[in-house]
Amino acid sequence: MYKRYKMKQILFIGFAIILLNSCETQNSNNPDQLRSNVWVPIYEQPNQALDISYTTPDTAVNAGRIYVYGNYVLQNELYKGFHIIDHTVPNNPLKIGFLKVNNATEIAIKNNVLYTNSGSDMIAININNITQPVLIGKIPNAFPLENQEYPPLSGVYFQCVDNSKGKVVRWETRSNQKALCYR
Amino acid sequence: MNKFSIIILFSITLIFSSCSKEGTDATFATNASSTGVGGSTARFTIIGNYLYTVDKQNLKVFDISNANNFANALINTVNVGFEIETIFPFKNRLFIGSTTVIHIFDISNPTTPVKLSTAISPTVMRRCDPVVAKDSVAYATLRTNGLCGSTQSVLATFDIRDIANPVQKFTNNIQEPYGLGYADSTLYVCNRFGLSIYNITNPWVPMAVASVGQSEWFLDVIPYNNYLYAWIQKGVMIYDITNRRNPSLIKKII
Repeated sequence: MYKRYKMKQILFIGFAIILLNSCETQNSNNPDQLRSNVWVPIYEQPNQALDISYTTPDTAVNAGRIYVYGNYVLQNELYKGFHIIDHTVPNNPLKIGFLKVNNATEIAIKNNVLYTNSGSDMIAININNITQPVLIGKIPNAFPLENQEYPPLSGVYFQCVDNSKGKVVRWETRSNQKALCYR
Repeated sequence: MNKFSIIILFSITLIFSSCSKEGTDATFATNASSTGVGGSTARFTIIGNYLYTVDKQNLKVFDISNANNFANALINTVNVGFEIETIFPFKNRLFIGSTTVIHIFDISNPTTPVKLSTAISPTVMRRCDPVVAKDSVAYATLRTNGLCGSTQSVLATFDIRDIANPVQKFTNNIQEPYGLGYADSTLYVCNRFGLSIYNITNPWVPMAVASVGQSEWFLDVIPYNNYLYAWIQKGVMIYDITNRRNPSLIKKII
């Protein structure tokens, strides 16, 4: 019986890989268990205005990719913007502020121009003065949303996407949640 | 049946040798010409006057020689395939990682990427994250997933002298690897439980020499001059790597 079950499982896996080109999602073992770090999909809301500003430093909640620019390190706060770390003093790097860019997940910088995305839009921000970021260009829909059917990290529990609720624009972590999906 | 059960999820990260030298000491306050440095899981990369991005299906080229004209910067869109995840420059090539294969583009003409090949590993059905290349070697982390059979993840080296046909040369068991990067002859591999350090004096056969930060979940690293910047799940860890194989923690910033 065990062997038979295993074969079925393996066949299913094979099909999943071939047909879906993905074998990362599985159902969690204890669907009723309340978990502490569950990713929850956030669905698209029309007409979200671009919000770019500089604010005081904050603790990372959903820490994203990092990027090094001269003596500075920028870390994406998923869908919120970028933590700014000043590493001018070798033994004392300091988080000095936060560049707010709503729905940003990517980053590259050249000549004090920060290129990022706000959801599906590509944007360029002049950061000659980081405390006064200036939007200098935008290309709508040049970075189509991708992989939003899964959370941005793997090895995590998440609430399965309900496609009837629309497009998933981002993910947030919440505590005390049930999670049916794991990836 | 074993074939199915050995299916391994794949996480390659192309390290590119010049990345630690590309940036300069520019600050936000200056107008000095400079380009920053990203990690092995990036979707944006800047080479010269061009910004390359990968979204789910496409490689896009933006001319950023005049940033103030960014609204008109998109100059080329190249359809690549499915489930594109990462982009990595290595010499005059772009390595574009998808969930199943690595697409290799030539950018000798920077505005017009030309697809050279699609690299498919016979043993690895799926890769999740990044790849790093150093001359004729690519270092990859192959991350398993319980449902997919194998329970063992590995660090692997590939011979990329024939860049279209990477040949696996070596594997070493590792718990749960993510991004990676190198400085000189030291390789840093992110792990669910710390940062693993390898001696790659013999580039084909990495030798595990140390591990640091075992209580942290490491996701990607950027070796940059004598510093190692690490993306951890809770924030950033900054190490001094003047002694490459003995990283000294400067600060954890959350």
